[in-house]
Amino acid sequence: MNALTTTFVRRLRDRDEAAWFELWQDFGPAIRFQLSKWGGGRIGFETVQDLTQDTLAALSRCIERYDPDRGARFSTWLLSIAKHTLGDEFDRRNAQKRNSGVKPLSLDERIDSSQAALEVDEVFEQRMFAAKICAAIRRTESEVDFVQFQVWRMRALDTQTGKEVSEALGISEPTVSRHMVKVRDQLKQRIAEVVMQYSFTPEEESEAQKAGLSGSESMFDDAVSNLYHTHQIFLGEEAEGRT
Amino acid sequence: MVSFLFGLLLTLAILIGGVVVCIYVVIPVIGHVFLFIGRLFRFVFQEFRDVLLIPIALFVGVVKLLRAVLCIVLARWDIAKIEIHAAKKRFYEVWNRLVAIFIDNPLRVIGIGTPKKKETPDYAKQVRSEVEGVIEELKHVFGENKKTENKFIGYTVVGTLPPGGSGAKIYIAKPHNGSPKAVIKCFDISDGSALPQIVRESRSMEAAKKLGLIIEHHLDNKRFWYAMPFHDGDHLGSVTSSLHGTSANLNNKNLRTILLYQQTLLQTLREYHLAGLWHKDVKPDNIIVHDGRANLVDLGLVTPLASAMTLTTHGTEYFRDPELVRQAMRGVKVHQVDGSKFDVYSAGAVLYFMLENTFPPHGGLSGFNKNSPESIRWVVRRAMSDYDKRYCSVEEMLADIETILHAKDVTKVRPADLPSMNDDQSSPAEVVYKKSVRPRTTPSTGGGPFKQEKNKTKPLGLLAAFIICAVIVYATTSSDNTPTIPQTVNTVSSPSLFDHQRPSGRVLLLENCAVASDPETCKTQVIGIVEQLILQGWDIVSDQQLDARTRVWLPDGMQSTHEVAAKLEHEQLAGILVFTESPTNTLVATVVGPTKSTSFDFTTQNN
Repeated sequence: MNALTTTFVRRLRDRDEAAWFELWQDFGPAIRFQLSKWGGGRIGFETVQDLTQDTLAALSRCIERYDPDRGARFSTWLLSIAKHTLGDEFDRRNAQKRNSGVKPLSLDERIDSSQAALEVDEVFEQRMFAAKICAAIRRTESEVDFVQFQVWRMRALDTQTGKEVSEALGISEPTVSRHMVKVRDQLKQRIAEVVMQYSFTPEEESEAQKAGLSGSESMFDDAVSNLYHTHQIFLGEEAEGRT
Repeated sequence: MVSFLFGLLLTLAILIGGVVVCIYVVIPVIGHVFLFIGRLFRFVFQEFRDVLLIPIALFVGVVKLLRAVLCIVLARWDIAKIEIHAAKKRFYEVWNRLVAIFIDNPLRVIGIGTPKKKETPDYAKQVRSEVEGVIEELKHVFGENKKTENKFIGYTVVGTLPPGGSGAKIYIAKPHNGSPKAVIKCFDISDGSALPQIVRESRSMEAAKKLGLIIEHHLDNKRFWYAMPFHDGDHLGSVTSSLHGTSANLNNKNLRTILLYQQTLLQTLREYHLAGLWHKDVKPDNIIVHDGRANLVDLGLVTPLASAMTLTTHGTEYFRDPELVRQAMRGVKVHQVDGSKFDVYSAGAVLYFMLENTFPPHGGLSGFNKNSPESIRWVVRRAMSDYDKRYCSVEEMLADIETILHAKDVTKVRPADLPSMNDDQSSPAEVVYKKSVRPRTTPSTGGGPFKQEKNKTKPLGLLAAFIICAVIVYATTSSDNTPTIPQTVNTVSSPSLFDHQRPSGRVLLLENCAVASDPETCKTQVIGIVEQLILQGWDIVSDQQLDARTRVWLPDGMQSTHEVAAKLEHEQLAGILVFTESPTNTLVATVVGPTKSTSFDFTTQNN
């Protein structure tokens, strides 16, 4: 694990509320989606919410025993915990139905025993990566000036031209370009950090490059925009499912 | 030959006659026979069905009637009406089936159908009148007057509303003084209401009453209830759906309607905030549109802005600021944050909802899928941006909304035309404060594992350099030897603070002027002292999030401990500069460092 990941894991181990909220905010939707998918309509939204929290709680217990040498991806690890949280829920329900009093297998045991057998879900991986990029966008938004960020947003995400942005905001086109450069540079740093933070394997660390985020400025903007809109669609689907 | 021909013709005639008879007589007769047999079977089936269904319908009707009686006893008039209606339908069904058994079904066997009766039969009318009579009788016995008048003095309950999440019962009531209808929210301990909920709801009653949000409220040993104005309209969710209708985009008229709703909502929120309250649960379900106004209802979470209670995560997802959750998880007190800014976020989310007809799934980063003017989107984004970047008040947001609303064509307004883009309305003291101590932005993720960038201190450094230059120029050009203390300082300070060794890193500024005897003077004093310290090279930072975080763990006596040292290191701070007011109303500055804490007194000059 790299230094950023180690720091983050340490914060989680230290029960740093901010770190947990960060994890919930960034990856909660992806976990919720996956749990709903596995639940196949058998579990309602509120249960999915609870299970997502259980997943993160389980993560807090397992994180003490995480072994980086096993080479599991962060996303796979999270997915594994989510899957066994759901399995545990179904076991509990079945035990209740049978009224047998049989205690379901403990979550920690389950996670350790069959992590390797988990199938990697491509959609989940996409969601996870898009979530990482959106987390980086959010951090960038927090760090740069409001107007500067909106300039970048209008240009890169809303695909407006420099002239349109300049007219809308009453600033010159060179100023628009300057703001773009500043925000883009900041975002690049944040993406690198976020990807590093939530990556346990070299393969995960190279995802940004594969997604075209290391190309030219226009390629970078396009790639970020695509990932952002993908994430929007995912979140929209979840919202629709909820309503 | 002739006889052969005659026989042939006769045979043909017989055959033709036979065919004709078959076609016109035998087949119809057989058909009718089969039809009759069919009808007979159907008759048997219908009779059997009706005989079977009559007792069932009768049973259900009686059950419904009993439920209606129970509802009347419990003063749930609206549910009683529904039950009576259902019972009436069942009795009507019984009557129809009885008629079918003895008249309709036998007549159908012989091919005579009875026309469907449109009007209510006399029997049903009789049932209705009887049931209504029973209701009146029961009202008289158990007492709409007796029960509800005793329950809510001065009001007659005329209906109920679905209960919210608080578990309170909600009634629609008519005041006896002829005023418009009111909504009564009642918490009754004997009905299972929890005391904490009662305490929470009763906290803001007096302030809410002054605002006209509450007509009256009563609290006794067993229950707490309050009456609010009743807005007979639809909630914003359904109004928004109808505004969007089937078209994909909003037209100019609809956009104006949305802006009008937003304007009235913000005006209401402004009143809340001016009265020192914070709604905390602004969402479409809590906004009732009535007479073209968006009326904010549900005071369940209304909290005084200066409350000393710990911040809670109550609210509704998607309309609740994530920062609120973050601060609540840290155990921050309500008065340590600006609750009105959380309402600003929610108001932005409501505006997004009206534009998109769905809630913002991605908070402030939510995209827009429907066509809407850039200026309105700007307002949404500004309201939903980070805590320290959003509108400072609903007033500011309202000014932007009104600018768009007053334009001839709302689509032509640019973000650059909005007042907030050219905002310079801060009071001079605030301007000095903001300029001297620029709030440091932390990532919205709560700090994250990232190192604070060094260049973030540059603005302060530049500002300090600018002030030094200004002071030098002023000192050299001034005819008298005025001290270099800025004019905003009206204190004579103990020199020891300025002699104190400058901390080797960032120093967080914490001030408690809000609870000082004279907050304005206190704030001015603090500004002056901080400016001088900056001139001396102190790296003083002021950050609301960091402020809130620090107050949670800072010891009451502000003494330095190992824990304090660890926390300072974690927050990458060299120390904390705390300004408080002593019991003798003098300003006290305490520098909390990793190894020791030192306090300095300042005496107010009364000239």
